[in-house]
Amino acid sequence: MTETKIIHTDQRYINGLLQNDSSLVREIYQRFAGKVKAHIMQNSGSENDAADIFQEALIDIFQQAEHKGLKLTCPFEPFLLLVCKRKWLNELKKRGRREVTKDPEDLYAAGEDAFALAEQMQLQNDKAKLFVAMFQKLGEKCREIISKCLGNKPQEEVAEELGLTYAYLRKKKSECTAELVKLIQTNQGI
Amino acid sequence: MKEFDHDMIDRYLEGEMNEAERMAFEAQMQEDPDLKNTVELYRDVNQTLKTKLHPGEKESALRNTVSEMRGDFFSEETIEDRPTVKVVRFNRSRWIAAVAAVFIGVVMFVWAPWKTQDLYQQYADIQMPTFVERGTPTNVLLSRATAAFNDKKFAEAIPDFEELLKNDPKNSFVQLYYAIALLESGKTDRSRQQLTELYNGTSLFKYDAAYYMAMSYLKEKNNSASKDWLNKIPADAGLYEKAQGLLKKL
Repeated sequence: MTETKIIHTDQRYINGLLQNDSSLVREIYQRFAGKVKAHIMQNSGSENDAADIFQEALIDIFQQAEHKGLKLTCPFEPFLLLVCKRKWLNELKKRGRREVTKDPEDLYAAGEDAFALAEQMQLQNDKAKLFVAMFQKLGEKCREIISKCLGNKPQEEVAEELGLTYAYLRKKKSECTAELVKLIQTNQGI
Repeated sequence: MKEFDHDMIDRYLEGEMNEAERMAFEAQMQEDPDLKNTVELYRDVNQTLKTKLHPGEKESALRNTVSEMRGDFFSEETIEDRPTVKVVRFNRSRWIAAVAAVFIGVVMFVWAPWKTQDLYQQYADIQMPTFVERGTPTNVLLSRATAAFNDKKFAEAIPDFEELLKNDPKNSFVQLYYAIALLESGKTDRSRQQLTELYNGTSLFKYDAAYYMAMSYLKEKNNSASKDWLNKIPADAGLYEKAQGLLKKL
């Protein structure tokens, strides 16, 4: 998606997350935690809420980089602020609050890329949430089979563990996944 | 929504098809965008759930690092600890409770079952403004009368009002509250005498006097006389809104 764009030097923060580089993680906290804290506390959150949002945002960014190949084409700060802002808006909605959140001032200078990347993260997060919610609706047996089949063990071992033949496990797994996909398709856009 | 052979999709994604099968299936996907989208969704579901159900060591390691540093940059203060602005988190059931409480409050206020003379008590209730200016004997009397009046000890206030009026018979402020105290103590005739005098004068309290004349009739449930007096209050008087509100209810 971003092959043609120039990767920003702030990609080093993302690499820091990918490599669990504690000095870079500390630098992220040092440079950006204050702004996120200020934004959330100005919008009816506590410092504890701010810490939760900041932490979750870093993990989301890690996941996006690890599994979806996120590459930073803008500075890290506006991107992180946008991700946190959206997460906080979601949380406020969940709590049944309707405040209009004030934009962090630093966002006025945020480029198109920052918005696009944050938007994409949000879409991925929403999708993942839907998938997990629908997965929870499956019967216990289906959940067990899907979960074990998606793990790192060879499927033959999983079959043995569950006391099933390999062929039967494959059949059940495919049935359960079909059920899950159907649930997702009917609940998309709700 | 079309139904597709989920075994085929599964085998394709697991790489279990032989070369011929795979090519045939891919050709089918080229022709049928719905099949292609469904296969993509299967792939996406598998990938996403894999990362959600089995986060992996790298992610847990990062989670540890991130949460270890948290305390260096954020305090553990929660919203409940904030001393200045206390924000109560309202979930749905709290909202329902809050709305119900307000509703009951409004019903009780309007219905007011404990009030026997509800309209009178609702509309005649008044507090005397306090003027803080110490030292003179007049002010000692006035503040004592005011305190008694505002405590609804009207009988106690009356002698002080009379004393004040002896020294200053044209003090319309004292006259008005004296009249109200008389009314509240059941001395309706003397009250009306005071009020009529005030009303016929040109003082600032002319229409307050008319209003309390209306109150005196309201107290006796003489609604038509009460209305007559309320109607004397012009639109530019301070009590006009209140008078009109009461008129609607009578």
